[in-house]
Amino acid sequence: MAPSRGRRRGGQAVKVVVTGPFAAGKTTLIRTISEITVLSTERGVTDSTRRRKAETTVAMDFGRITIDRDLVLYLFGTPGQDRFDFMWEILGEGMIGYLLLVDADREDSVDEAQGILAAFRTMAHVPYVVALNRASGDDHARIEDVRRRLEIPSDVAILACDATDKESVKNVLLALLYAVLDDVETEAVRV
Amino acid sequence: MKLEGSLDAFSLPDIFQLLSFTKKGGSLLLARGVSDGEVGTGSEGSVYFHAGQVTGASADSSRQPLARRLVGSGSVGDDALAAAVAAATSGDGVGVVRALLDQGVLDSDVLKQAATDQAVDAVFDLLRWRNGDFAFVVDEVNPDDVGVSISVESVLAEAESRKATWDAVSQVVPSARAVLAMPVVLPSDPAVSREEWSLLALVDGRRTVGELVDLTGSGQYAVVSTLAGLVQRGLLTVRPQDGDENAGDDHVAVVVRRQGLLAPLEGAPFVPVIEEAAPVVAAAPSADAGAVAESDDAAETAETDETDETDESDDADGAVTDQLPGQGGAPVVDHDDHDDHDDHEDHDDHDDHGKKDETDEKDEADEHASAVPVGAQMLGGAHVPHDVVPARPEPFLPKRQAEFDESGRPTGVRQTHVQSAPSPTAGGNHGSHHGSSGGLGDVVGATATAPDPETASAIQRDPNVNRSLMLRLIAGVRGL
Repeated sequence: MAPSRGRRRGGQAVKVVVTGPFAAGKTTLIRTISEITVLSTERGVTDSTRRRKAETTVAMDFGRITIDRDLVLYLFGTPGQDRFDFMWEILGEGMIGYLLLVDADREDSVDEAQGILAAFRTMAHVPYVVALNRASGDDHARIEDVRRRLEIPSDVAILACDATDKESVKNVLLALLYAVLDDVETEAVRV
Repeated sequence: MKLEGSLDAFSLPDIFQLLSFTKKGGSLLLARGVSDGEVGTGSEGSVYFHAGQVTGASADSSRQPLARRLVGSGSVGDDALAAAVAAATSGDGVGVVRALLDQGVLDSDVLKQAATDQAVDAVFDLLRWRNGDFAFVVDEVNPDDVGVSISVESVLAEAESRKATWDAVSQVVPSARAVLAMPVVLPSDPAVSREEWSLLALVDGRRTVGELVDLTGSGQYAVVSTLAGLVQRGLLTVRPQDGDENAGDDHVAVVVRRQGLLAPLEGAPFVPVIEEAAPVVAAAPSADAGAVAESDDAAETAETDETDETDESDDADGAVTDQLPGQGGAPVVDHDDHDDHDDHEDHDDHDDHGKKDETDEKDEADEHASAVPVGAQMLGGAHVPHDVVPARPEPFLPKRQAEFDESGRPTGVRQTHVQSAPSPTAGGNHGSHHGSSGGLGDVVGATATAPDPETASAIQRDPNVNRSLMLRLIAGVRGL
């Protein structure tokens, strides 16, 4: 009566983290590209559930893109507030890369991004790209300014994006995936 | 914010992945407003996590499925169970199974295997919920945590593999309300395993599949799969449902009807011999394996005998065959058959059987019959179950058979394996773990391996992320 021991591939999950300062547009970006709606809702479940515990803090965004039957890409958004920075490492574990989202309209967003990027660089040695929300692609001066202030190497992409536009978000995500692909191929050559 | 939502927006695998990725601990509660009526699942279920791994699950929170499984396997005696129930109701947050484990009355390996099977069964059931809501309660501890820790990938892979076969099984055993019966004639000599026999012994032509699942406690998938296999081999038949043309045709009815067809040749209408059934003597409460099946099913196993009687066995010289011509229409009760079943000494020693005083036999039989409750009448005479269902010192669930050499692993420990490419979570602080079992998320004993703080380093890209995978990802995102 024991269950079958035969194992079949249950599918592969790949993880990308979206990080950035508070109100940079991380939640919007994930919701724009994710095929699932929202993880957190305010509506109740059941009375018995409520009896156990009234509320649970999530403090993250969670999105999914089904690539094919056996491959799913998950997007995890880090909470922007400093009080949740303890979660960064938890969320970062297992990621193939991360996306740093900065609000181009707010100087303090870039300042805050410096600390976040420093923490992520220390925490993880994985590819990343920087996306400037609310910036236009021809705003080269702004892009270069951010690259200088965040000390972004020239081989790391900085892209203008609109977190509310799916095509724009796709481009940012593709830039990250290509960066990971480059990393994979570079490593293969080294080996 | 609350971590809660509906299953139509978030599939259970998604939620599992989230909890696994974030190494959460607590209970995932699931509820649905209207039960689908599926066996083994209720309107509320729960899955417990610790450090992102599954430690237990139930598809019906109103029951004690793991405890029922242990009871069904005969692993627990009355006294121990009563004490454990008392402990569980004392409000200390200890579950009945945990209490049994604390008492030291359970074999740790058997318990862990049962807990693992239970968790997989429950997740499989929950995955088939068509609707419902979920909520995650952080840090709520599994009251029946017995040290099992299964990776999410492993549970989901097992459940997915079951889903692939479930459709075929469902074609054979159409619903939980289906009733199975034993056929009158078998095409060939049957060969069954012990676990199949333990189920056959419970099939009585009246009990539904759902009741069999409940009775064994072995989980819907395992029970229904086994029953389907028996049906496919012709050892069981699915009885027509009420309203069908042949509804009510169990194997006894078929025999009676066909013998009735012989009546014109026998000079008298066929009158089946009716003898009062033996009282259902419940087996003494004990931890013996199979006790539940035996004590719970006395009358039904007697009917199983009657199938054998039509099959040319010695015991078939019972009441029905005594109605052959020459004995007239008056039914004569043959108590020899009765005694053969009742008296173990006679059963074991046929030489003594012929020497037994016939008067004594008759008296014993009469005495036996007089103890029968009114209404408990059966064709072919009364039988007690223990001569049909042999004593089984082993539990229902046979020990797991290793599919590979486990000599290098800790004894008594089930290690789960994910055969698919390692999850991204397996990369992390551990770097490469090719060919080893030391990756994060592996289960060693009851504890998931934790990163060694001394050797922990920065998060690295999972080395198993290769060019092919990235190209698939890129193509997939491009196609959005």
